[in-house]
Amino acid sequence: MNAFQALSDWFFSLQIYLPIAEVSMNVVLMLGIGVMAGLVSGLFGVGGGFLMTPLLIFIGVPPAVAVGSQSNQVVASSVSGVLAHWARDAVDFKMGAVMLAGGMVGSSLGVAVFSLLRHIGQIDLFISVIYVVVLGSIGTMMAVESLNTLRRHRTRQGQPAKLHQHNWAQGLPFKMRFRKSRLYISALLPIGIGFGVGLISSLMGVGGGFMLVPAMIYMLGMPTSVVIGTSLFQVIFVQAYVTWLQAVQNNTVDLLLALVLTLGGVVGAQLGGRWGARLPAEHLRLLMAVVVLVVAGGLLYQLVSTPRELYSIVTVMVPR
Amino acid sequence: MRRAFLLALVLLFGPTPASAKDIVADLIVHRIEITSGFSGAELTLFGAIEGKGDVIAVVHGPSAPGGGLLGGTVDVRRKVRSFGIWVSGPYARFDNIPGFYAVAGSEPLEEIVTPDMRRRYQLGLDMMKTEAVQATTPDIADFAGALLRIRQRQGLYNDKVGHVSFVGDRLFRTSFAFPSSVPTGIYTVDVYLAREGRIVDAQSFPLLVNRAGFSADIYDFAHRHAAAYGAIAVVTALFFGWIAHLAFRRR
Repeated sequence: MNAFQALSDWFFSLQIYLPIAEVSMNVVLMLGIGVMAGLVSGLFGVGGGFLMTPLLIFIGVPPAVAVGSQSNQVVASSVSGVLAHWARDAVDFKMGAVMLAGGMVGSSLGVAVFSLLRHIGQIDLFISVIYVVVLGSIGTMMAVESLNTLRRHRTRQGQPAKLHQHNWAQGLPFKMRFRKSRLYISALLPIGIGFGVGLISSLMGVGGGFMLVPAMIYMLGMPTSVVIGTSLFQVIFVQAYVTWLQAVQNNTVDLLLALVLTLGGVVGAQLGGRWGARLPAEHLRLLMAVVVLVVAGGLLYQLVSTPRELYSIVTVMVPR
Repeated sequence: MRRAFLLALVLLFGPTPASAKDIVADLIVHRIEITSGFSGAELTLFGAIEGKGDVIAVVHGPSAPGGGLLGGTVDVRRKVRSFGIWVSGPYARFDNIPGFYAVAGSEPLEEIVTPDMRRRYQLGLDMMKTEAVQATTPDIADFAGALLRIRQRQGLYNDKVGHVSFVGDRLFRTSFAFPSSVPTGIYTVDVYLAREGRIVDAQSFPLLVNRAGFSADIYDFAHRHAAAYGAIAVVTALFFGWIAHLAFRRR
């Protein structure tokens, strides 16, 4: 009993020095954040970056390193997710590739805008505001939609919503057939979505799955069964690209941090995947809406409430 | 530099001429290595004095090799409320700000040396020079106070004067605690002998804080071969994603 206690004490006090972040962090804390993000990703099929980045910053990881390292972790979690969905034949590779084309352009532009804003100053404020606006609106939209669906189910009134209804979009050129998604739509739509999500998500430093998934369901009208696998497939490439860019331009990818987060994330994703399989889709979407809204609310509170410390120190030059 | 110059002046023209070495001191280790398991360090200083007197020890740094700046340049920013949300407002820029500062004395500093001596040698956090070189605010003192307060909370500045304890009449020892976020570089340890309110002898030696082992290798590689490091990071993530899939595939 004593030995067990000593072992658990040792484990919970285990610190690891992160070479790029240049701080020592509690391993259990980092694993915990990884598990939480993994749970979210397993349940909802999104990377969980929108949750992980704010949490990492909150425990004291420098924001730039948090952003860079979590994108590396998202690569790992997306790969294992895609492989699982692929085994169930639930990935529309063609759709993913078309969205990816837009995503690469969008995220490149986003990185450029990011450095521009950094030069102007107030980048932290801009990131917080964009987080609150994007998460708040997506969360609200999802909550309203899933509540409506649930109400319809309960009263058993009316017909289920049509799979897709793009009146103006039907007229767009470059039509393509997406077999797996059972869609015949203009390629401009998925390219545009990839572009927009790539732009916003690279500004926020997240994978963007939480924006991609609703956009694919509501704007493209893809069947929910292939949405998650396809979104993950696209996120792998965008995030691998972003990781590399961050490592080269900013030296902000901490391998050790990413590894610990991956470890936690894998476990969380498996748990989340199993729970997710038992929950009906509407409940799942409502739950995700709640998680997104809670994160948005927390960030909004931080922006509005009086900070405990009004001052901050920025090191301009270090003697080397 | 200025500090070293003053020290030389005192040693040459000090009011109470002391013999060449009335104080000798050394560190048990002259180097703090930041490895993967690093969670802070304790630095022990020991030494001996000739005759009567009190001892003050100061650790500060990092500074550029071969003297030069005593510390780095920092901006202190204050948040202000604008349209209901808190945004970064005015700032003050300070030069020569050490990343780490700790002091220890055999008695409370005010009882050992005169305020003039404390100011001259910057003995004690309240005597640290905080000169703004640039500012968009008239309240420099508030910003300087915030700088000290935040660094204290981070464990980088010691708010409490440590204790130098004597073993017998001549031997003394003290120790300093370094947090895990201690910046790397070359530090300076100054040991002073005080008699009748004045510094009469001193010794100064360097202390190296550097990364070592695995974490140092990663840091160096990430900065020297950034493209390769990025590629390795991506490949590692792909590999672990695949491993995770294999590990949980059953069923």
